[in-house]
Amino acid sequence: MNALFDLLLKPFQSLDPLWGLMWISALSGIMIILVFKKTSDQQAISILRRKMGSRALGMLLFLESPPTVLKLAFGLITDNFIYLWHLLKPMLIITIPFVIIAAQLDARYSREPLNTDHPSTVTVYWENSIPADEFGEPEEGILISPIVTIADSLEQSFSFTGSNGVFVYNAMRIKLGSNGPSGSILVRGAERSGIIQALFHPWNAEAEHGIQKIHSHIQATHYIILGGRWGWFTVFLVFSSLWAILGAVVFKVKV
Amino acid sequence: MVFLNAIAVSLLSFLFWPVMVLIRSIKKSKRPHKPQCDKVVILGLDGLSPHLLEKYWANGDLSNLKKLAEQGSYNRMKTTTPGVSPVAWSSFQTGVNPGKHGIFDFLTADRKRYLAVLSSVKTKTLTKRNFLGFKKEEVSSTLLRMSKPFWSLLGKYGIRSTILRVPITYPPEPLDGRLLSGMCVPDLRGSQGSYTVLAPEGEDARFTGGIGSSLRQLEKDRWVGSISGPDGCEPVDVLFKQRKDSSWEVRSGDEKIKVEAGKLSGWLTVCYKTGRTKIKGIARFRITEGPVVYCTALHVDPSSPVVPLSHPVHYSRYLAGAVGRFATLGLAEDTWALSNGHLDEKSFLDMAWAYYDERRRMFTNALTNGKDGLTVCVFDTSDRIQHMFWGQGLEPGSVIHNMYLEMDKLVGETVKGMKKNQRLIVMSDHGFTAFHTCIDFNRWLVDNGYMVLNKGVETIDASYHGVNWSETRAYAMGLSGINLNMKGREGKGIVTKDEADSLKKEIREKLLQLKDGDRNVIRSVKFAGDIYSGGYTGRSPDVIPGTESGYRADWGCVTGCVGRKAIYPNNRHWNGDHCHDSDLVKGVLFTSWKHESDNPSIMDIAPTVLRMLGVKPPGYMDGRTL
Repeated sequence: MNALFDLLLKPFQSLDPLWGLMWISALSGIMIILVFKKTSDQQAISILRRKMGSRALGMLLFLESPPTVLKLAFGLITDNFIYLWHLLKPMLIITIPFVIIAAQLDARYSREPLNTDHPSTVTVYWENSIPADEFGEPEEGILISPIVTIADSLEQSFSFTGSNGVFVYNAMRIKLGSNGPSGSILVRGAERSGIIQALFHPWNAEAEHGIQKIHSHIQATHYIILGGRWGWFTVFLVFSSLWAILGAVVFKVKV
Repeated sequence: MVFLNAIAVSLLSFLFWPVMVLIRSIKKSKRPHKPQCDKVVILGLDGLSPHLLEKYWANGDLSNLKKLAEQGSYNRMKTTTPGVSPVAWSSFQTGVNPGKHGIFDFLTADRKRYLAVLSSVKTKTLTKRNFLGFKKEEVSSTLLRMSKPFWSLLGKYGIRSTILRVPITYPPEPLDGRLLSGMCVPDLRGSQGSYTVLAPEGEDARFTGGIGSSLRQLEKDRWVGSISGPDGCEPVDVLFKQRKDSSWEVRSGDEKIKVEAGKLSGWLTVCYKTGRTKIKGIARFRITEGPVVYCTALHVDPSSPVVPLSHPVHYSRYLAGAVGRFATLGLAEDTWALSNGHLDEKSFLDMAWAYYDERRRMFTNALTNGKDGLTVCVFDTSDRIQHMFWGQGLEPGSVIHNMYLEMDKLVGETVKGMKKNQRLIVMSDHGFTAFHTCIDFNRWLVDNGYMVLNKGVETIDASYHGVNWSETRAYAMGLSGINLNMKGREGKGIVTKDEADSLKKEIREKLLQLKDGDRNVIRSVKFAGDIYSGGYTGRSPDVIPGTESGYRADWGCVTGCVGRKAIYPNNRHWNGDHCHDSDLVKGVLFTSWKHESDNPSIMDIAPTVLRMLGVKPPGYMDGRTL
């Protein structure tokens, strides 16, 4: 899946990350609408839509008769539930690619690549309790220090800062005192000015023995669109929806 | 969103309801008479014959109609002259004689050009400019029926009406209520119904009632055919795919339907484009071996009507959603296809009953959505089935007998749904008799020296091409009319006013002597001036022959053809009719209340309903209050 997305995003490597995000959103919108068309009962939806439209018109036509309007309103609400039922199957099917796409986009577009002097935090969850006096600064990894929080004996957070426009830090060593357990964190990042070239895997960070899990807290990114700050998910939702609507018109999909 | 809309409109309805009730109450309080009931329901069963009703009653059938007659009243009802639907239903809705509403036949004469044109609608193409100044062509239709329908008078007093498929209501006129147009609504091609036959060896050709087209094979089990639509639009391809179970899948655009081999399908949308405008029609299909595909006329899609089908415009959209898509063409049942052999009897009946079901759902919808006012619904099924199956017999078990049983069931259901203080009228516009022999009135006029053909011309195939007008004194047009070739009125008229009276009398005398063997052919001959009164009498044919039962004007002379024989057998499937002497084809009238009149006329309905709902019938109406 990573390779596929890398391939899809290749033409956008040298552009602003927003273009890649919009490209994937457009593709997703079209794909989602085509999957919807294939998996939904288009004829039933068409009939139901006509029926719902008819009930709405009926409410205007029989405005002088509240019982008729109520009857039509009740019918409209019932139809609405039937409509949701018709949407259920395609929506369940669409959920699968949607989750995959969302995971990919979250990994690629959710975090701000570290700027120079841009601090972030890594939290390490140790497997075994560490005596408090054994907490200390790591020997390696010039940017990991000092320990900023110690929630309990199983958790430590470190602050690290990008430098020189690049924050690819391989095998940063975290070591606690001379006798404590040690582990290494592999944080893969991207160039500051270009598209993210590799994925962050903070939840999959390679950990040596003694480390249960590691969370890195890297600042969420925002995209400036029409003067507003948009999160990746908003961009994805808006653009994929727009393309889905366009796709529905072009491919004549009843939604 | 839908949920919120529903709640918002419901609330609005409740908010406005007191205001609307108040306005209506004020309007209703202005009624000059005390109403005798809250609601009147009129169930029109086109062509229901009193002769057959009484015959079936004698057998113990039609119990619902019998019960209605016993509890209320039953009469044979006088129809118009001639007793044809456009004339009779126009008199029904206006309460006046044809001289005041101006409809005398299906067709009327364009006397300057000697052309037969539709009597009730005039269609023009207008060039308009939109707000940006661009030219835009618009088709504009005008209803030629004069006078006012009685429901428009009810509206003045705040009484709402629902009018469903009453003939001669196209284009729909505004009213306080809802109206769905009936007879004379055109198809998408602008005709009164032209079907398409697609066959592998078919050629693109027009024939009476339809169009031929070819079917191209794409693969072993896939075919494609083009269906031509409105002028200026490219034909639309329709795909036909045979499935493994021998049924067919018919696809047009994105919509597809399943069609059982040999059976009539449901509706399929066929969409045409002209510029940026989409023109949507609906059609049904039947596929037989070959494959040969029959496609009904392209009905205007009621969900997206390209011409106004209803008032308000969205009423047809409402109905399409509420009861499903429905036939909108004026004469929806395809009698030409049955006559031409492109539909078998079973498929024709399937079609007729499918349209009947659509109408019944509409009628039920109208009855349940209003507890007061007026509801009128006309069912055509009874007329079409009698036209096409009269010759097969009328005995129990026949198609016609079964149809009468079904109509009786409909009456039973309607009576059951009636509430206290509501009144029901069940009526037909005319009756029916056999049609076994054709009379070519134009041939008869030629044979008797009233019409002269050009030298060398023996017969005429279309629109009087070959008539020597400078010597012709009379010509027949329409189902029941002979016009004098009047000087100053007709394009090439020669008959002076002084000659007219004697000429009419002469024609009458000769027509009354017309014999088929030893049988009389003509029962009566009337003059327009004697039977009509009103400002539009001049539009009527001058001489109106009333034929004996079994005899009717032939197909060709209606539109200006001249055949070889004046009298010849009718071999067509269309073998029942009502274009005879109007006394032979009286209609029926049932009322849920007892009335005194023993000779009611179709013109009496309008004043009766007005009076029943507390409105004074206007003085110009010719009908009496029952």
